[in-house]
Amino acid sequence: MHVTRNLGRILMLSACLSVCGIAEAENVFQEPESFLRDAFGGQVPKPKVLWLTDQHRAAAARILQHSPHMLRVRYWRAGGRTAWILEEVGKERPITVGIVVDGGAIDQVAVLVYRESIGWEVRRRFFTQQFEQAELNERLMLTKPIDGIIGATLSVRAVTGVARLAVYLHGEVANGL
Amino acid sequence: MAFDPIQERPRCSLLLRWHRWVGFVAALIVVVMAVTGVLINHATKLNLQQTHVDSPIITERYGLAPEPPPISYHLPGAWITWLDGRLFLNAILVAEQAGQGVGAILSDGMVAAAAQDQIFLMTREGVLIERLPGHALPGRIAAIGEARGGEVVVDTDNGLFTSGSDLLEWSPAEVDAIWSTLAPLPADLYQEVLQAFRGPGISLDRILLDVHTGRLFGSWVPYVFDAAAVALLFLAISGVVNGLRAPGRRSRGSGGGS
Repeated sequence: MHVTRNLGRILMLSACLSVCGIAEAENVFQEPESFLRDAFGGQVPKPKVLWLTDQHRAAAARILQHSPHMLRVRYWRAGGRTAWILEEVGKERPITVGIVVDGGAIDQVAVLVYRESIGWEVRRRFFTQQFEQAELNERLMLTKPIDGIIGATLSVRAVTGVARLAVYLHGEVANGL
Repeated sequence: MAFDPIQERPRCSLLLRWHRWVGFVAALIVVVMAVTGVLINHATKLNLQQTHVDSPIITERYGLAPEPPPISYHLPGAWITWLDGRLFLNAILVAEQAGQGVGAILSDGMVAAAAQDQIFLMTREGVLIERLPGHALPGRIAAIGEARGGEVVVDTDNGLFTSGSDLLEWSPAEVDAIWSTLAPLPADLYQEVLQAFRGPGISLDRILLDVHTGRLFGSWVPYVFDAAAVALLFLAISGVVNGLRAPGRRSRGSGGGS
């Protein structure tokens, strides 16, 4: 009787672990199209691209701690407001993050797609709202402190990295490049 | 309490029997753990990190043997190949998690390699220019081709769409196109792609570590190794118990005879 009950518990545990495995699948919290519509009040401007020069690549490498994997970055711009949809690997898989920069300061950060099995707390408002109104100083650091999340260190680092990169690239675009 | 040799002897011999059999079973695993443990301890001196194993059995165990056959498209001066989710230009790895390829074209000096839910725009040298994810595409792609006017055409679940070579904007269109078609990858290039897919192989210290923990033999084998460790604990305890009992029995036996 006890053996049967214990076997049942083991099977339940195995099932839970299997479900945890499934949790590694792609979690779309907001469609990128929806993010862009929200960012520009429903009127999404045409996309543009910024080709990365050596100077851009060096700055991006300083920010992300690795060279960027692409030669150009897509963005959307209306007046002094730009939106960026960037990807950065947390631990093993890329996190898709939407960032809106207005006049050199971050207006919004949103985790759009999360693919890691742990660390999804970075999508929460209590975390993303910390970025609002943050700018970039001459050391390419945000002017506001960003509190981390226990157990999501790599995801926090990834989201913070792309937020800094977006503000930097916004500055390059705004400078008329 | 008085010592009862009639009751104590069978209990003692049962423990000894278990001690012996558990010892036999655990010995093999313990030998493996001991030998690999010593080697891992001296991995740097033995240069095990720099020694790589490229055997097919090992690469298969580590998932470095591609499962499906390659999907290839031939362009002027280049082959585009998808192999087990990785994208190659000739034998240069361009991207991982690249989905399943549906075609590749050369447009305005750039290569556009399309998977079902993304397009990889790259230089002819295999440097990634941009990965266009699903939201930058007009739909799920079934085929990619080139229109008569030179535009890029994609056949999606929402219909046909064309774009300039920059792939920034898509417009619905009804156009004739030359579609990208599959081509068999030459055998020598396939070997080069396979080599690039596998990399230098697996370092010997990683293999030894996985043998040491049992992970190399399957996901459940580490539990067998855990059991061997528990068995060692049992051997230590039963050995001590047997050792403590034996002299006591001798002394009591000799005392009883005098």
